[in-house]
Amino acid sequence: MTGTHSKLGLDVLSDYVAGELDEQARQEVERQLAQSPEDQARVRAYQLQSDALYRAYEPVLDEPIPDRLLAVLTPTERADVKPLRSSRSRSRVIFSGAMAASLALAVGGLAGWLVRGHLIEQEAQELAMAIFLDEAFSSYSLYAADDSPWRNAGAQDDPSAFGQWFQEEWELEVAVPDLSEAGYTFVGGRALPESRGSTGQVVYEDADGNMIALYFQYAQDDAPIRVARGGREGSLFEYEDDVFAYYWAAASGQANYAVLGRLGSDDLTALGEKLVGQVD
Amino acid sequence: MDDLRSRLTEEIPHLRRYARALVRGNRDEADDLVQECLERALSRASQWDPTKGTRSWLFGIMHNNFVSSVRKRNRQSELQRRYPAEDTVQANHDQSCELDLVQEALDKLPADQRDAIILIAVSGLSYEEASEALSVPVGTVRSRLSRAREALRSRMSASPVDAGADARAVAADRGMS
Repeated sequence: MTGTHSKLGLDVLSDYVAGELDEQARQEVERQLAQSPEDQARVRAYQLQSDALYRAYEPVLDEPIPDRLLAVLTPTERADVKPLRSSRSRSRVIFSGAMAASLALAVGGLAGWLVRGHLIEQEAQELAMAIFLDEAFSSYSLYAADDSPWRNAGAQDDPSAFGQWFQEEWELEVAVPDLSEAGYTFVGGRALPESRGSTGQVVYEDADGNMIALYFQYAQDDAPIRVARGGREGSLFEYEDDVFAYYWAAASGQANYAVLGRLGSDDLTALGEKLVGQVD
Repeated sequence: MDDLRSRLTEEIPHLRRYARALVRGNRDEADDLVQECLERALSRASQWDPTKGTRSWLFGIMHNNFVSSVRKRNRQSELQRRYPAEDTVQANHDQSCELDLVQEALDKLPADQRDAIILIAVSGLSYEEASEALSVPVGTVRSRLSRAREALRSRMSASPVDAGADARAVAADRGMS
């Protein structure tokens, strides 16, 4: 996971893990966590930290108390309290067994922290990317697929006006990539309502009327975009019905892109690679 | 006084755990801290208020001791650096490297963040109790803890495998060109 964005706020997530929220606030956090893989991952990472730290030192509670400490609290024996730094060899022998036990526990806790912490990051990234691709496919099916009754309905069909229009919608400047060299002409674009970030889709068609869609999500300050695994090169994903998507993340980590169409995987990959250079 | 003594006896395991985390798991050094803390608590018995949190009072005493002993040690090691005389390798280092990693991660935190996360995650204090022990406002404890968690998280998630993801996401890039 990159960045320090959090919809709920890092302090609130930390309060949640510390159990410092009242019932109403706790429920609200849990409701919002369900919508945010980033924050879920962060909470789980915080919990693993706390568990590892707690387990690392918990066994100390069960160690026998060294005599020299009890002696401090025993009024009649105060004269016998040895000065600091003298009674070490004895206590070391006594506690070596307990120490070994505490180490075994601490190791288990820490290994879990390191390994699971990383897996959670990965899970969250994969989940976020799955959500992104799912939303991309829905938008494609609805507004660009051959068999959709809403195919390109209500889209802004002037490429030069699209940027302005999108800016009004999402306060974000975008320009429409030119795909004429690849044989595609601009058909229309739209802003889309999505849960995460500023989202839109631009649709093109070739001479035979085959449509492709470029789907994009930009981070807003309170809604981070995750870097796709595989980075800038992009990856291919096949939906059902022979629809492929080629998707990638901006080098900044602030945007995800996908180009979708019912083309062969090779053609779509070639188109995607062309776009990576243009929009990133 | 006997009330205080019995209360202190109950607190010893908790003091030892807190001390162990403060001194990176070194048992003897930790028990030295506990012993000093108990001695000071007895000598300040008149300041003890049984109706208030005894644990945060004791933790506060121990924390202050620890901070001043670190300052003293830093002065000493500065002397040793200038006039090296004896072996300065840390003794009693009988810990596994994994436990070292937890402590190393804590060590890399700024002292105020480390204080907050040890009191809350290791010792299980509430924000309120930690604020009493450290003599800082609750809001300060809260933000130090949050920063500590975030620092540990990004360090732990970045270090084992995927250092590249963070490096890729450097500058904000929002336009399509």
